[in-house]
Amino acid sequence: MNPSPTHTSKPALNWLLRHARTARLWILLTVGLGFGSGLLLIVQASLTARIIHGVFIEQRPRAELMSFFIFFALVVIGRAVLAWAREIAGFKAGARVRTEVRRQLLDHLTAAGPALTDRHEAGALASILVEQVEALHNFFARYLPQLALAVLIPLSILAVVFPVSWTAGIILAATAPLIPLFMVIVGMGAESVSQRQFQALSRMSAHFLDILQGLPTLKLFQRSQGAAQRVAEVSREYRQRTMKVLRIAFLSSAVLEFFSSISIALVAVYLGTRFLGYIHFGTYGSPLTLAAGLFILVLAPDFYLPLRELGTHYHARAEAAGAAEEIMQVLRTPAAMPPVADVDATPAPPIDIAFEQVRFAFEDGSPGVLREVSFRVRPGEKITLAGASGEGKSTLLNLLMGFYRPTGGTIKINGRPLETLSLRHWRRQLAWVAQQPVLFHGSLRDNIRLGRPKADEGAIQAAAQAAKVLGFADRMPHGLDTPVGEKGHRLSRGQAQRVALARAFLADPPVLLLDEPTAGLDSLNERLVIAAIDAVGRGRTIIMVTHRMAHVRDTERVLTMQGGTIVEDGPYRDLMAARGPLFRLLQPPRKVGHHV
Amino acid sequence: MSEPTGSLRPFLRLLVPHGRGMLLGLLLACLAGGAGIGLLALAGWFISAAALAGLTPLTAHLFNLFHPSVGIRIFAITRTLARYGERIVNHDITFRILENLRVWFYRRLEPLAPARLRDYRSGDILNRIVADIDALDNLYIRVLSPLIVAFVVTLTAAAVFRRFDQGAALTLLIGMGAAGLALPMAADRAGRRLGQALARHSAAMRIHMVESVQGLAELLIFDAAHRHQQTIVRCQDSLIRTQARMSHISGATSAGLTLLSGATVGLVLYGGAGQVETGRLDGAVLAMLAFGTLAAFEVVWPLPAAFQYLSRTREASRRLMEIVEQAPAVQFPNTSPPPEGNAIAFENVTFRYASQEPDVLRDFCLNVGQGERVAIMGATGAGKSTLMHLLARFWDPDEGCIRIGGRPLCTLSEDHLRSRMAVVSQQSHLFNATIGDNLRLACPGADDGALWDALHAARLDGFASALPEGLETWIGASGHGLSGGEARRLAVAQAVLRNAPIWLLDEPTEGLDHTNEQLLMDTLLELSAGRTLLLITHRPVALHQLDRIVFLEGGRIVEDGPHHALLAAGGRYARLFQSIPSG
Repeated sequence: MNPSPTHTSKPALNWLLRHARTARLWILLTVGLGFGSGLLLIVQASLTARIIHGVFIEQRPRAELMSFFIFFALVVIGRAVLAWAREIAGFKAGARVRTEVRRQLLDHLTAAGPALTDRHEAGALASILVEQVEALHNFFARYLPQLALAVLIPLSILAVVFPVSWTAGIILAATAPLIPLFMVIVGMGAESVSQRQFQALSRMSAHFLDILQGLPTLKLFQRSQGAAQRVAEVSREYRQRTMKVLRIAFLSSAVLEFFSSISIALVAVYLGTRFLGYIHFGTYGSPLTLAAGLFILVLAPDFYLPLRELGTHYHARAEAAGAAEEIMQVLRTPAAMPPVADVDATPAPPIDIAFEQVRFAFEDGSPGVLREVSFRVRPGEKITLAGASGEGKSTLLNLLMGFYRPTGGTIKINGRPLETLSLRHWRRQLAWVAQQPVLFHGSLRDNIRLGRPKADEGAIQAAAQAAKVLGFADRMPHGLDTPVGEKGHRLSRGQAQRVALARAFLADPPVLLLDEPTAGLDSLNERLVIAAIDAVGRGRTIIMVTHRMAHVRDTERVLTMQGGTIVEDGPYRDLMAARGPLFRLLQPPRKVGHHV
Repeated sequence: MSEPTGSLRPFLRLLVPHGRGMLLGLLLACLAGGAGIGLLALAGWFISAAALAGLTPLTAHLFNLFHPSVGIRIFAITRTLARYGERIVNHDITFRILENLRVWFYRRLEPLAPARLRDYRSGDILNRIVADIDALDNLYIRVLSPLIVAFVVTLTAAAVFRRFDQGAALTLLIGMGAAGLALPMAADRAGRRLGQALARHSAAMRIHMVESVQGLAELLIFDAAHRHQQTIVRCQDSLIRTQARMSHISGATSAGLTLLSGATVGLVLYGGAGQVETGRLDGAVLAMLAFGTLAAFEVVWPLPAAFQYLSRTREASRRLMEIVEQAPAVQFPNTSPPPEGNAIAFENVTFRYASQEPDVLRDFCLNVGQGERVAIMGATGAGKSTLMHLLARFWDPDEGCIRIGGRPLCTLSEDHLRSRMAVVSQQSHLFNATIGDNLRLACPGADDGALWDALHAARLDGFASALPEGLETWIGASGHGLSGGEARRLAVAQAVLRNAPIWLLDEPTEGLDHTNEQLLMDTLLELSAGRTLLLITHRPVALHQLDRIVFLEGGRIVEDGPHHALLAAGGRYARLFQSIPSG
């Protein structure tokens, strides 16, 4: 496994900063509120100092200082209100960016289609769209505003300390040029801590998950007891490795802590010796009052506070940068076909499909390559694409649906090249039953009316009837209202196929595409699915990919694919009689046949 | 706290062995917190006292400058070093706790697998279990330690305050208590219901998101992509609305903290000013108390987060205990006489996976003689795989008895049972390791030659030798992806390596094309000669070479006999056989 870089990549940060524009006003407001609170803190420090000075040095009765106390209370209330408002403003900033990024991702998903989703595991892609987008939040809600405050607040404190005492100002300011340096140190430390720890933890969690998932397998091999040892070892390695990093990483925050402690100590000792008259410089010749001294002392820790807070938000930055990288990767996947402006070019039935020397290859070299595929399907014709797996049958359907774009040649629909048609309108001419049809969260009924949400009950019943869905739906607790999909009733593959067929029937398009509709089904289910195909397919163009020929009629047209091209095209009976590629494909090449 | 905290007790017990380290960590953390307060308090006192003394030259000269300035420096250094040490020690302990926690959990989970974990099968739920353990890892460092430190430091500071000003001590106690306990608890309480809503909304969004990824092609073809996107946006809107309410709670918490710290400092000043006025308190001490109070609030800072974490931790531990406290479905005797031979007998076995589910097997009887090779066929759900689960004793039958070599399964020790069987199941798991390591699981001492032989038998040698790293290729979740068929054949290779007298193979040829299916079957038949073989399949390939074919339907045997007899009988098997074109 290659350890990912410790440092956040530049492009990811740039991407994040670009998206800050979406929420610029909210971020600025957050900074403004935080800055306001910082200024009030200075006022509060001054009041604290004056009260002590008044009571102690001037020996004034408490009642005389009442206005200070009231003012103090108002400042505290003001800071509380600002803190609350800052939280809300920061939240709005993060929420706005998340909404915008998610919108972009969803739009891109629709535009890029299966060319994008085929490349990612569904769960992983979904988690980019859900968790990784959420992970952006704190970068905008907390980290960015704090970054500004870590500069603004120390500068304002310097601005009020210098007029009182330049020596104290210098003690603080001497560390001020170090602030950018601190930021880098804090950053390096925090980033390597959070990133490496995160990585190591997630790697260890993955290992643990692996062992848990494989428990039955370990048991069968009598290795499950020993795995406890392995769990301990992995955890120990994790501890030793991580502690090595942490020892160094914590140094950076220790340095910050050290500077803050030492400058408080220096300021205090300076002020004390100044009061006692051991030294006389530092206040532009005027005497230093206790109020002024206390004021500086209260502010000394606050000088470093914004930086320390920045350190605590640093993991938000690392997390967001990691998320940004994954999001960018998704957004980079190009759409299969550029969107078409010419929306008038809507194909209408009858549909005539022609592949003319169509070529296709996946960028990553996956199987399913097409080389010079040409054929024509006339309206209402039924064809079967046969061929071993990996010969490009499903690719061919994907090209026809516009999910991928041919790397050469043209697909023509009623004589017009597919890429000049509005994809959305073209797809309305199609219905597709996938090898593993996806059932969406909702009822059986919702799934059937996917393509026609406003279909009436009669039409839905008719579709369910034709596709043999009613047969099993009636046996379910709530009939067509039975929930299916994730968390719903689990349907068998054969049942899911039939729901998908009902979906196609209801959408009622002129062309029906079927991808291995009966693969892996037992004979009963296979019979039911084939009956459903017959009912649903009546009067439509059907293009079916399969390598089960049991139900292909003798006169039906079969196209045999081999090596990414069509090697045979003719009625089933003729191809079988010719003992060509199709025959060989269906006939297991074995000397010892079955003794039938 | 209204809920029983008992659910955290088993995990707190895991902390006991680390008591000494934890004590050191807490000590250092308290020292760091205390030194931070001491630094500011002493500095406040020092400059105030110095300012007063400096008013007249005589007192200025008498003022002891040395002790306070040394004290200030000591506090400054102590704070830095103690903080660094505390971080190192506490993180180290956290990782040690984590080690124990995982081993503890694994040991309790191991006897439960797989029967009691059937409902936790899916990756998502197992993932959650792992996340729950991760949440518990931080119990000490994020919850316990800050709570204890805040408690100790507050009490100590109050005790010191009390020597100078009782009112200030009381104010500090009340202020810190409210900020450190009452406020976080109130926030936790207010956020609890929102937390549930949050989980609900994000789960809903996740479901729709997964669907729109998995079903994107369908959505595009049926022109439903836009509609589905609207649904997701609606989910997101409700999520954000809930989060917004949550952010009001954290806004209120942080406002509350600001108010409480401000009010406490203000009241200490106000009360102290009265005392100074009447001469009962030194003015410099007032400065000390005010500065000390300001600094003290630093230790309650992390508490709101700790409380939020506590409720999450409690929820995590509740879920984990729910799993771990189940009784194992099967218990093996520690020792047993070995079975005599390798015949298998199911005697009137009735079984269902859960009480609310229907019987999978009812009154099921099957005898497979020693060295007999039998194919089990039947539709999905006919109970084929269940036979394997029962033979591997992942479950026990509800009624009836299963024997191997004449001995009831439940009298055999786990070693006797497992060492006798090689199993290729539908769920065999490929570990995140090299191909070689995965194979060696089945036979730890095997050399590379033996591994290649097994791969050859499983018709996987071509695949493995084409890989650049051969046996050293990483597979599993983060390694080289294997197709379902390749994974199944790797399991076959494992079974071959195992060299056991009983073979249970569940669809070993899944995902293979005709040619390779035939070849693999040939090899398996060759290698299984002399062994007792149960072969589950729905593909009637090469079955004429087996002794018998048993056809299941609804948990019962409907046909049983050799290939030719069943073909001649013209029943289900014959019909199935004819529907395959190769026949």
